Amino acid sequence: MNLDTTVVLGVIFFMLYSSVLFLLVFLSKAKETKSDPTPKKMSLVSIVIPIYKGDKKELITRAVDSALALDYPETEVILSWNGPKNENYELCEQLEKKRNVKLFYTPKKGKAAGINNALAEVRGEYFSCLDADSFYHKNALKCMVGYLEQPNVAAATSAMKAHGSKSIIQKIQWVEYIFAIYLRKMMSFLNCLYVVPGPGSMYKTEIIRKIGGFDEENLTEDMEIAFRIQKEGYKIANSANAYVETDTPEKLADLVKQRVRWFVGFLDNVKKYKMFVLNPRYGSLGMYMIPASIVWIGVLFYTIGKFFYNVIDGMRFSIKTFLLTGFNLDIFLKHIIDSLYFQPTVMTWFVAVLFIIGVSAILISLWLSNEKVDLRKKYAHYAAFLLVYPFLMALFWASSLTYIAMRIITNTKMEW
Amino acid sequence: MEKGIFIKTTIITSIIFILGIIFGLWIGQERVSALEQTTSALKDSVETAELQFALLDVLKPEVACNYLISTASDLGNKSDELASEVERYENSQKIDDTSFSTLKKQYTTTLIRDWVTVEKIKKVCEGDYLTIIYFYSNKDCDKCEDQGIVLTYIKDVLKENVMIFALDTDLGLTTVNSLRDSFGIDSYPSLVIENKMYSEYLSLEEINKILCSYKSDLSVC
Repeated sequence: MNLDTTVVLGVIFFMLYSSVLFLLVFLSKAKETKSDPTPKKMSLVSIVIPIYKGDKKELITRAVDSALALDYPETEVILSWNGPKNENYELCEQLEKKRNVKLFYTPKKGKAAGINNALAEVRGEYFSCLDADSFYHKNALKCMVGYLEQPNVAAATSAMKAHGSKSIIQKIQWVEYIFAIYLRKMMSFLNCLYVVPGPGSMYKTEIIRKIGGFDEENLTEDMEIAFRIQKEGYKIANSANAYVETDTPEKLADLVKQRVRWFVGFLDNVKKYKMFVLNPRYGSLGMYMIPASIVWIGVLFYTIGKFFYNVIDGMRFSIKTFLLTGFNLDIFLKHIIDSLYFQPTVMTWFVAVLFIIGVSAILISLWLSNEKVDLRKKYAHYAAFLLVYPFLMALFWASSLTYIAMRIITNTKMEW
Repeated sequence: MEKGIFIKTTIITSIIFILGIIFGLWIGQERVSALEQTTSALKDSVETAELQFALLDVLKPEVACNYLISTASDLGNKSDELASEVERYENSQKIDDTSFSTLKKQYTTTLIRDWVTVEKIKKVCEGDYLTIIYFYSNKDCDKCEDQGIVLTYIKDVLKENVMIFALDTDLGLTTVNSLRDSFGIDSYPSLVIENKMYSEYLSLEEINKILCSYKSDLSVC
């Protein structure tokens, strides 16, 4: 067996392991995936909507409307403006007057600063953060609050769905978010969630205050808080029924920018919390999730690299053939037909198994998300996801690593 | 739950993985067996041709030659088919190469016997096909890929008018080495066209020119 085959088999084992793990968790917890603990008492929840000058008027209003329309007995809605003001600040002032919401202001820039400013004032036993580009479904808080009543649980994450899918990029994200609902639920069973996403997640106010609030210097404060919560010995739960919808980038450039922030933030936090890595004290998060996420980067680059190598080598061979022999249509067609000749190899088995597990995972994700397969309307979503997503992931990681290299070379940080 | 689920995952993944390896070994073996059968069929055809050749003394030459020319054409088709299958197998992902290495040696030996037979048939029965022996190496041979492309093209265009015998010199086969030494070949790629040696890369135009000098009614002339 040559080196290439050995590496390919190693990559396959890793892919199989991760896919089988999540499927097994689902099969062993199938009954619990869609049921949330019934809350004993519904304590006051403070809803903090951090806002900055870049947020759009209509989205701010939509977020506030959804917070006020929640099916939950007692809430207070806080708009927390951070950084320089613009004309939208007036809208927030109007909302404060007319819609029974509170408006706080801090000149400090950044979402974390906004949440911290509000955190000092919130009255709720629990608080929920809602990004201004997101909105709750009516029962979101009810689904999550039961988890927070459990001892040792410091945060409960929502089930995020992508709102709208006009462009191909958004269609891909629609499937990605649905798939993430499945992954997050399984990760919560394994106690290895490493992010408490901005749209709609809930926290126990007392614990977050005790551990010092959000890190205002961190690129991804929602990941940092997840690591810190678990470092302090608390848990993060997830409700697959607490739907929150969020707007997703429409253009590739905006998506790359968003993902570079997420991925660089992930690596920064892994560096900051390196004591988690392969440390049995931190359970599945330290022993599996963080190392696996790092290995995934290598697997992704190897797989995509191999794909491009084969494509480029094929093109090189075709160009060489053309240059050496000229173009002959009959022979060209003969070679095309020859290339379609199917022959089973060791890969056939693994591709078939991974395909079956992959399709099962997508079907489970759709079931968990209360979405229908709806191939007639959503065929472009699935096709784009399957064909383009791996390349996008490679692009995100390549951009993120380039960003890190530039940051080291120039010793500067990017403004987000 | 956590520890238990990881143990279960390791067991199930290992089972799927081992089954995949077993499948890979089995399918590899099946494909090598199929190649063995094709090699064996080629070997049978070569032996039939050799027997027919021996019968030349007892049969009328014109009768025997009719059979032998048709056998030579059959040998050409079979060796082309086998060469494509061998190439496909070589380019595919496989776990165990041992049985294929043995098979490739058998295949190459049969190819040499095939060449000897068709050369004899051509001589005695005045067969109107041309033969090319292509000596190549997969190590340190920058132009072997180019030469392979040109020869594949020539075969695709000229079909049964030309018989190409590609011999892998990396196999360390005594028969290949002795043939190589007898033609005085010490670098790759090297071609023997109609028993004349060319110890360098030959372009399509150059090969066409040489072939046309032997057989002017070829479509490329």
